[in-house]
Amino acid sequence: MDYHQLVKDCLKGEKAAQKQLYDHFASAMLGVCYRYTKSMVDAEDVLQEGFIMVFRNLHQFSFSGELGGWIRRIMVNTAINYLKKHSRYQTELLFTETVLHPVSDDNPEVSLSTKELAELIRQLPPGYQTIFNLHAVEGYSHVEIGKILGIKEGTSRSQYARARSLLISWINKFSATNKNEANYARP
Amino acid sequence: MHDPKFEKEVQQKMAELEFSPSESVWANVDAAINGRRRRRAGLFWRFALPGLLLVAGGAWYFLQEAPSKTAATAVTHAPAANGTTRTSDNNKTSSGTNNSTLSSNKTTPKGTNAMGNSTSADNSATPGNSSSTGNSTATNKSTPADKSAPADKSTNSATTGRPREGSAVAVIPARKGAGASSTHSPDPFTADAKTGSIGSDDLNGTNSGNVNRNAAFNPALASLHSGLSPIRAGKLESKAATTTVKTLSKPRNPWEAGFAGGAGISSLHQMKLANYSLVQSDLPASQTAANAITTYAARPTKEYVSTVDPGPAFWLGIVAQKRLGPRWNFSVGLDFHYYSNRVHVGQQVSGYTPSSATFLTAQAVAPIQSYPYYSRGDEQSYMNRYYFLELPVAIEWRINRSHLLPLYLDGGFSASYLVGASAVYYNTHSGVYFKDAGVANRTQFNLNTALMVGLPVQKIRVLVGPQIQYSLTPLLNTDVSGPQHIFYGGIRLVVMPGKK
Repeated sequence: MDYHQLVKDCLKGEKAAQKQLYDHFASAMLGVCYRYTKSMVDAEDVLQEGFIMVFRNLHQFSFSGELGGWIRRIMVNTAINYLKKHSRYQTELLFTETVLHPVSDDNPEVSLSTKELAELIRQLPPGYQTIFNLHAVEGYSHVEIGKILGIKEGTSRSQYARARSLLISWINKFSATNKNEANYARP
Repeated sequence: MHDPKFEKEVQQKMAELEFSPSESVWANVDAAINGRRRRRAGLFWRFALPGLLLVAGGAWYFLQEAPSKTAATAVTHAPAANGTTRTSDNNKTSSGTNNSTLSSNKTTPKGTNAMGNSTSADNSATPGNSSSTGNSTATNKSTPADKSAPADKSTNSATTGRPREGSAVAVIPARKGAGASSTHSPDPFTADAKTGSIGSDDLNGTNSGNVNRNAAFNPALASLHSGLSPIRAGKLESKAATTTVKTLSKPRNPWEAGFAGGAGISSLHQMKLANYSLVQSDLPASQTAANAITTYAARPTKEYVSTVDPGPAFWLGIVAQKRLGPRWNFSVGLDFHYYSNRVHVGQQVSGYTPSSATFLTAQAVAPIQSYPYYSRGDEQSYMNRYYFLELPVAIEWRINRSHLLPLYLDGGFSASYLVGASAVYYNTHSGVYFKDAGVANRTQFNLNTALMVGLPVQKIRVLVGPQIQYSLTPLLNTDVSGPQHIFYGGIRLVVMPGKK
């Protein structure tokens, strides 16, 4: 797809081009939004706000980078804004160290499907979930996460370690359960 | 240090995560990006229309003001005899009436004023000679003949049965027979005059000459000079009086228009933030599973709050004022307000260049400057700016009766709409400042008061004095920054042209 021409057409206000751009990226971006939220309704809200921002700021796209990466970045920012704005997430975005989950350095084999893994990530508390997504999936450093969320680098680092540990324990449990079910199902 | 193998696996799996959004998402996006211009136009007219109406009302008022002042001048200079003079500023009196008057005046022995359009004719009422103004004012001076004529008195008393404020000059009655085109309804003020009589032929136009015509104006003169058969003077008088009274009883437009403005400082009044403590029952049901695994403790009891420094503010607008009583005025207006304040923030977080990004390049990230975050701190100050359109309603009370320096206390209420803002908001939960217009309450309700003094300026009413305003509505529609309210204090200036 010729993104260059597509963006130019969108900037001209052509609705067909805007729809084409949306159709091309919407599914993947909904996956991004889904990871940061707790429900599909919220994910679609974020997707909607994100695409509105994309079209309103499309003139800022410099064509030197990937359009998909640029849109993904906007989606992530929109998702974080969404979490900060809505009270059901705000109360759990306090990155306090009062609750300590054990840290482990396990590196389990991720035998889960994409959607199963996404569901487990979404089961993490919002603070853990956000930091895990930003670091493990988006690739932000803890310094950057600290700046984005207004927390210390060390807090981000320790929260991530605990989130990772919690997720790994769930993955192990989930895998074990699946194995048992598979064994029971076997004649 | 973790082995990145796990993270790589998670990244690969999450890159494949896709869902099909519902149709409503695109519909809403499309409406937002393509219907934006239409909404802005609607927003513009929502505020422009009342403004235009106010301006039109003000212009109409000033245009209406000029003729009534002319009439008032004529009244002032017209000597009132027997207290029976009246004013007529009704320029719509028919030309037929005017012409007949002119012709009658020409035939008088002492031709007096044949003034079609002049104002303030001072006619010495010699026999057979009376004032005659078609569409102007005139004065009917009493002469001995007038005084000796009881009918004249009765006519005068009938004409002036109910003295009115500022009344002055007599008016030529509109007559059908004389080609008068204007017709008037009977005047309740001239009920007594209906008993008087003037030759009825005059009504039919059968009697020619000035005597009858003047008689039509003054029945006493008619009876003295011609002895004509009585006519229903009252009817004619009632017509004349109707013309006069109609004009005079027209209520004076009490609305006045002017300009108002002010300058000062504004700030955000911030109440103490409540302590946040998470209660299990407060959590949504969807998060129960997560909370079953993790346990939360109480939140910190003290939140960080930046100091808010006041910033410059000003406002401009138009005001329409109505007098309710000798010391009370009511006013409405339409204003544009600019408020600002400064908050201390840390470094801007905008250059997200992930060290281990696999799908983002620095170039892709760089253009995204529309979501600036600021960490907390005192490294720099950020000026928040707010632009409001405001509809104020106020009551003004004159405190003293001094003509030199009258004092006024003004208090009122206003509704305002946030039309634009450039501001960062502090999120007490995540501890960052962020820029998002969506969290602001666009509609605000305010209380304001001002103490003003009237300045002695010629022909202009100028009021100036201190003013304060407090927004009752919290600035933000969430509790991320606590309940903040806009506060404004400054000097207010009101100018009412054409009024002293």
